[in-house]
Amino acid sequence: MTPTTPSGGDPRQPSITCTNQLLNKNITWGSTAVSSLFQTDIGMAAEERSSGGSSPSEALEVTEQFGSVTVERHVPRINCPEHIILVVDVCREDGNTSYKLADGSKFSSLYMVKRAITLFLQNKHAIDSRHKFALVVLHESPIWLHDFTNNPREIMSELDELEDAVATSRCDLSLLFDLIARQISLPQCSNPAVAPPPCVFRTIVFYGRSQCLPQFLGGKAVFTHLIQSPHFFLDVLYMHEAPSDENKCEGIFDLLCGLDESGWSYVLEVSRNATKLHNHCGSLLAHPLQRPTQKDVHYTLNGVD
Amino acid sequence: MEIRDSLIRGSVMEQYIRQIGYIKLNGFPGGLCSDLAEITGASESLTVWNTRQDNGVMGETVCESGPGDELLIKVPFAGATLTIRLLFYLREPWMPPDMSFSDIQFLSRISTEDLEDQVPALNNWNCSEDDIIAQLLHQLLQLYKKYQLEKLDDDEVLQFEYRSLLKTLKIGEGDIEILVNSPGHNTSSLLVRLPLSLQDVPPVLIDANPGSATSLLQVTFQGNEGVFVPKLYLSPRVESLIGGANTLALPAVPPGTCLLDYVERVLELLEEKVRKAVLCFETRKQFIAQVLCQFGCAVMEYDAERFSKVVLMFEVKDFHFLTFITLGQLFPQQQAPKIVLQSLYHNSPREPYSKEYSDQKYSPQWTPEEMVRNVRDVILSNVSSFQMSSIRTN
Repeated sequence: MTPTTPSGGDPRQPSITCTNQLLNKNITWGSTAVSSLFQTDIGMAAEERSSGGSSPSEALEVTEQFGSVTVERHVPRINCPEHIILVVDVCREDGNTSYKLADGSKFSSLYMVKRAITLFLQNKHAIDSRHKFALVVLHESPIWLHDFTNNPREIMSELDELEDAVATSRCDLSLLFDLIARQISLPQCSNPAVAPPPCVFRTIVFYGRSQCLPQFLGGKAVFTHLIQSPHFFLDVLYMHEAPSDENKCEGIFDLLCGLDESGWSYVLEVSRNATKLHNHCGSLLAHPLQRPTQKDVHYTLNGVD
Repeated sequence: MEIRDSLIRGSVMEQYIRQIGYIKLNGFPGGLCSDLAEITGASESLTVWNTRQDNGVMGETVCESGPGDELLIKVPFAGATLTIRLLFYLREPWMPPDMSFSDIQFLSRISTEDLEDQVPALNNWNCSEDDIIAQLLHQLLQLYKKYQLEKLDDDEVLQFEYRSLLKTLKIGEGDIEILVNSPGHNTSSLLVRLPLSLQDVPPVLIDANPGSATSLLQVTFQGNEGVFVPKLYLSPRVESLIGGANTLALPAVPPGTCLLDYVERVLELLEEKVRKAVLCFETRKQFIAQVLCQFGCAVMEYDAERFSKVVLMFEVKDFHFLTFITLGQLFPQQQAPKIVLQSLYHNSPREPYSKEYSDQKYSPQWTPEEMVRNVRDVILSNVSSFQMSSIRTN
């Protein structure tokens, strides 16, 4: 696969000024400044607490600004193990198009997402082998296909078996989050702003339909309960046909963006561009407690200071 | 009569087992290497000991006793092992146990007054107390220590060295065990607990190993020339910070070496190692902070406890890739940061394609800022070739 230049407009553009924003946070090289950069330096946080030294709020809460919205972090930036729920939409709609690579070969959308998730699993495991993965299949109703495992091969062999199926007319998000809520138990921390959690849960929804608007047909109560936990995260990767008057891509994408109530989710979209799909899976490798907000990401490596 | 007998014996047995359990739970009382003490039911025959038994009546009780009535306790002491054998009269549980020791001279030198004075458990043997055996062992060990210290009067040089160690290292009598002319050998040995403090070490570096942070130096004297052989023991908590005791090269002991000077040198060596480990940690932290400062918007994950790793995603000319930067134990003085680029697109064949790139120009004298800038330069100069090889391998 030769990398191709990304195409298509992206409603959520990464902010290019983010690096400056980070540097403008007045970071100098005194040891107190370093400690405020590391909320997770538990030893130092403990010292500050016991000695009553510098104000605890400086060490524990970092607010980040993008645009006019201030988003607060409420959990220490520790790289605790993640329990990642991969939700794969296997619906195949009428008139769906394939991914075409530079050498002319064609692959179905499901094939592509399987490949991209495989690389995601392998890379995430290489970053930290403690991370665990579960697999949910989204068709008529969501099915919990494989429980949490830190062996990526188990998920990969389930993925191999997946086949696409004729698209259903509805996508009920209530069923999905009900299922997830039943399968996981969120960490109970008495002081989540300070205590590092034993793990965090992250759901990544790979949604693939361009005609069907996903909806909360059974209400949002369970979803709201999950999303208010500082240890639960939701990311979405939306793979769709080229937006046109014949489909509902824009509306669906707006709806998916609306699922990001905390400001910390990554909602990404791609339309039949294999490279961009894999790049997005790269972005999704980032640990939710340590990654910048989506608007602040900036991956370009420059040679000039 | 028989049933009542066995009932009594049964409950006595239970009590006895509880008393042994107490020691196993709370640890052997006293002794610098108490966690290495061994307690087992005696299985050897008694004939070797009988002829040297000074106290108590053996007779019929011995013949009828089963292995459950005897305890064999092996206590490490000043580099040798002191074995204490206790024989219990389970049919007459109000009787204190008979005792014998591997150091045969010990009992013969101890007066009855000393025993009454220093080992009150014998006269107040309360068999219903859970910790009575533990108390007895503790008192016996203290008496043995005292006995050794009295023997020091016959060895002026060793006595002087013992006192200087106490004074110069500012340690207490409980921190040194000394064995003067151990039975059967013509050597003396001592074991000293070095006052190595891990107080200023960031907890994250040692918390994986709970327990005491103990450093013990054992010194065995050979002959009368003051020649000695040193050996170092470190508890796991210390070893996890500065490495295994056998990896640390102790200074040589040329003839005429003063013991006190030597012990001080060893202590300094350990303190230097601790300082270095903490400094490495601080440098790693500064390096990671600098990475976050320069590339925080590209971070995937970083080790927020030990600061040994950071993973980023970069894009160069529309090519995206992962970068793993790892800081080893020998960073910064002897090791550059390890840089591995990894593909987001290609497996080769089962793992994502990856390649390590070394940093030829690295210098430990650089500031963290310079180190990070150099890492960036290494990445930039290798991206194209990485891109090419990752495609080719697919």
